[in-house]
Amino acid sequence: MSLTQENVKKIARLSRLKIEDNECEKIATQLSSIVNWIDQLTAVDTSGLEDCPDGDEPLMTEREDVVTQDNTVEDVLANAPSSGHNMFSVPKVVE
Amino acid sequence: MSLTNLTLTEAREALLNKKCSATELTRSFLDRMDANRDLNAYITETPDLALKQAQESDQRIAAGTARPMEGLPIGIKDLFCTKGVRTTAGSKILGNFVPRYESTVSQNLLDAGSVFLGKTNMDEFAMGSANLTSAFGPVISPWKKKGNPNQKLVPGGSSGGSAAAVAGRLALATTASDTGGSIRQPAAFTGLVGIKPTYGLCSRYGMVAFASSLDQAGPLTHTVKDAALMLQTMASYDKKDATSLNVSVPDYLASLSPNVKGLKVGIAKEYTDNLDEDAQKLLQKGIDWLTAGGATIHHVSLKTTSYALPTYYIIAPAEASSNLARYDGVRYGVRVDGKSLDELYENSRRHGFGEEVRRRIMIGTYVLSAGYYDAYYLKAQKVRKLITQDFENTFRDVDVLLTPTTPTAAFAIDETPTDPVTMYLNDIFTVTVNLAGLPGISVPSGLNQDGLPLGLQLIGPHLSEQLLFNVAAALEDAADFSTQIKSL
Repeated sequence: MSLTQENVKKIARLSRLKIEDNECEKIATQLSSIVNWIDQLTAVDTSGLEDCPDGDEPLMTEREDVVTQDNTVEDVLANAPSSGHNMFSVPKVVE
Repeated sequence: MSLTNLTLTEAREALLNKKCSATELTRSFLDRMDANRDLNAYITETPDLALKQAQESDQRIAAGTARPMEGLPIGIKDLFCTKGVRTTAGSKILGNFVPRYESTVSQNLLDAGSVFLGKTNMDEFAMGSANLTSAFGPVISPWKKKGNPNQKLVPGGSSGGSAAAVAGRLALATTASDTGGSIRQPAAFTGLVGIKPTYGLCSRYGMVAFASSLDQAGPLTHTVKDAALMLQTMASYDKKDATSLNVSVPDYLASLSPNVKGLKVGIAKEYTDNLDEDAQKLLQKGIDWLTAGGATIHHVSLKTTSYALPTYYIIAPAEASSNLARYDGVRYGVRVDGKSLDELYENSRRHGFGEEVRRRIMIGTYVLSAGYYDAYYLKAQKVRKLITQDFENTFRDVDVLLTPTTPTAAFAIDETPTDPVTMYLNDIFTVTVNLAGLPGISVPSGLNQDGLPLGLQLIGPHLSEQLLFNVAAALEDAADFSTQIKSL
């Protein structure tokens, strides 16, 4: 199916990607060509398969629930573009 | 002979026999890196670290305590986190990211005594087949078309820097990663051996994630022997990766035996229909070489093959859109401020991600969104299961499959398709094994009329790496690629 410019704006919003109005048409054309191409999968008969096809795969191993490292707040914040008082800082989110 | 012309295993011999020192070897590579910056193979070079590591290796060699890769200079694809060394994944959004921890794969290589020359260039977040999406500029292949030495060729992608570094002799070997062909396609384009092992053999801990159910690390090397040494060093069971396989890693190198007598080789119709002439000729040579060694050829059919690429282009972007949600401009990476938190996210991600990455995030978001999830994502998961079953059935009848690695040889940067779907078709023969979690290896096997390398791919069942190395070694012996190159 073809995507409209409205579709593209919604997808960009869900993806948290800023787009400009004058880009929407080009993006809609490119995404539509990909979507039309992947649409060929609708022709494949998958009626014999359950909705969760990996259900019979071996389970991943869970680690024991024990603390594995010390307080690494310095490491965690080392690459933060903006931080203070041992916290990440962001624009004001409450009035 | 120049030290940089040695293979990895030859260099290991030379070091242990005191023919050269690790410091001399490392300096030779650093000099060549200096002289070949135009290839743009490295994003970050680490000469001081390399020389320090080489010095330590020389002490260990002198003391008789050399480890398996002692003093061997290699390059690391820039999506393996390296403690204290910038790791960008080829993206502007991680342009200033300096990890505080080491990936398991690179830690294993360090523990084995390797010397790290630097971090190799790659398509942004490993999304690309030509190394043109890197925020740090394209990588140029060291290969040239006969009669057209000025045309710049792509090294393939996404591990383009890793491939150009080995092919250009700017490293003895490199690490790479393969989500849909990103080790094997560059290997084919640059005349190298590249193996994507069974899913779970190498730990993904500390590897910048693209599509977690498909991503797998592997090496790029000059020879099959080198690939065996690299892979057995990189691979390990790792509790830090829940999908890591709890198996012991064999000594592939010690068990390497290029014997194909009695081997059942499958040729799949879907990989050979409508092949271009070069690929067709090469495949026939591969068949002739293996049958001359005592293998038998079996014609098989994998009916789901044509659905693999569209399936991949649903699953990989879906996982990528989820994985790349972590780049929020808050915890690490590039931040572009906005009036609200949402604006900060949108501005940072728009500014930090390149066009192809944004496109794939949007496709992934779309196929996972309400109303489309069942039709696309769930459907693709089911088709993925059919593709896996197709391989399982085929491997009841044959031991390995032989295919061309890529439809064509490397293309020029200015011939690169601009349409995304045409570009995606590059991975048509490689993407299937990622979906099924199987190992695949590309072996340099011949040159086309332009004098450019072509690769043959072998695919095997789960954990058949030793078999793949053995058959690859037989192809390598028969193809005698290193002699073919010398005739250029």
